[in-house]
Amino acid sequence: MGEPRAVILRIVKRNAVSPSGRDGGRGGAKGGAVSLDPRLREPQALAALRTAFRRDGAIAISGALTAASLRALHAATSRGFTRTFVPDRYSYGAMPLHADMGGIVSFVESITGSSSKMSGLGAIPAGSVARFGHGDYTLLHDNLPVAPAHRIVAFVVIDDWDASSGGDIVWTRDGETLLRLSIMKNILYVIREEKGSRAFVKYVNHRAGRTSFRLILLS
Amino acid sequence: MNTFLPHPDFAKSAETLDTRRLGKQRVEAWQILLALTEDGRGWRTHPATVMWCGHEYQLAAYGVAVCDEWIARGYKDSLRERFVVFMTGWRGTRRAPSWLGDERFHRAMQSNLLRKDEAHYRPHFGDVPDDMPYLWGNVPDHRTTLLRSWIKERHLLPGAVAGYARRFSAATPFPHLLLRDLLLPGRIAELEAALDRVAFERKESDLFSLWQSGDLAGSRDAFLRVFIGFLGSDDLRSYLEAIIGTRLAPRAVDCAATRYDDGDHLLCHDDRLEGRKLAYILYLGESFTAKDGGALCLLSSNRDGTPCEVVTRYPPRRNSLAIFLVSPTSHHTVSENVGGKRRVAVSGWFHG
Repeated sequence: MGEPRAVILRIVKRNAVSPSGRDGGRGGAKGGAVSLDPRLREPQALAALRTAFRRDGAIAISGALTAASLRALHAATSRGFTRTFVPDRYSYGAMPLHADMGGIVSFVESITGSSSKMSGLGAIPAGSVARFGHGDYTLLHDNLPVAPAHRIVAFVVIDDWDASSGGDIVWTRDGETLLRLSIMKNILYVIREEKGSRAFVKYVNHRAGRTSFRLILLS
Repeated sequence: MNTFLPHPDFAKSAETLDTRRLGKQRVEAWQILLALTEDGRGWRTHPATVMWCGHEYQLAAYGVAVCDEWIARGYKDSLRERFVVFMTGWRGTRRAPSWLGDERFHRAMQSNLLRKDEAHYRPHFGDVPDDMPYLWGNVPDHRTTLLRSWIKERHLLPGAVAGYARRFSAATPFPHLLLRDLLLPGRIAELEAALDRVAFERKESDLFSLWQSGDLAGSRDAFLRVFIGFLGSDDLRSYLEAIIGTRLAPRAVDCAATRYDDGDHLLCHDDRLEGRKLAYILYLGESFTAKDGGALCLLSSNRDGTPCEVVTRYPPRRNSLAIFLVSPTSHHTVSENVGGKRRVAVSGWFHG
């Protein structure tokens, strides 16, 4: 987050990937590795992502996963959430991540140039799945540690979302908003947290109705 | 109807009383305790009742002392156990009243006892004159010109204040009170009209989404300046102190207007910041129903102070004032406004 702005790289969207994807439905999350769109691994794309991350400290890759992987993640996280609720800290559904995200983690490491363990997203631990619906949020509680320098957070959003329902992910420092991310389906966010910053998920309001979104945090 | 306290020590007072008066004291102390703790009981506005308001535990202790003396003199008693049961179950303050130990108060009591039975009391009270009036615990009268020009008089009667004090200290999950239909109709209408002239700024954070005015103390609006003067007045401070049973700092009050539109909310927090003692919210504009949201929600806490769950909700009602003590466990929220109405209020803190 050298400069507090996210760059949306529409590499995949530009190339109009079909819902079935190039892998023809293979490479799902259940019983197999979650796969990236292979075009992201092309040298030119990787170089562009590395440059953007070095410059901005925050990148967003829409259409990151293959359609089959996305379907598999949907199925694997369709149930089994436990409500995590401490009123002055957070409210959301949580479950452990069982899918093999190793390929995605390696990809992120190749962009960031760091193989250190990734960090959680505010109150949400790394390596978990979080689901947010009406009434859910995370807060900047006093006990929430501030980021040391160069900590990496990476996560995938797997659901469509209406921005008017809230749920934005926000990094702040000393009351100033450094970065605000919107929830979009099949987007991979890779963020280098600024030293001293902290993140929260904005309250999801009643316009969400019965819908929710899921975040898969890499570790 | 009275309690006789010629001395600061309850047992010494009981020892001093003549036997006829001692026996009646057991019953009268119990009647006053009922008036203070059970809705609809008589004698609530009597000065002898009001002086014990907020000190119910101490009144029960006085009841035990007179029963003990009664039994020691060889009489049968059926009331002591009731006082003991009350004290065992009491969850409120055990604070002693401010008049206990005040020499003027006890001398007035001695003087009045001398008028009732000179032969019995003269050896106890020496040269105390027998013409002093009752002091009734120096119960203040809040029906001042200033307060009556803002607040409906029924809220200012000594009995009403005594009742509010009792409800405030006994409220769960932490001391609080909602005063309904508080201000005079003209005043609330003027305040609403003044707020229509105020600029609101959008405020967003992890904790809230809402609209807020600047500090109203800095307003140039003529009516708002009068309103801020009322909020910071000694009269209002004294009135609130009588309800909450603790001191507030003179002329130290914050005030801003807030507006919650559809989807706006304030999540769980405790309001603690240096100096804040009593939080207040005065609701204006349209009243809400439970399904409209916008309610002030009070949460219970674990033993370690972590908030647990909402146990009390107050949907906004026009011209109601909510107050609560700010403490490590004063966890509260404003539930999301979901009904499409505008929730407007002036709120802030009295410092202490």
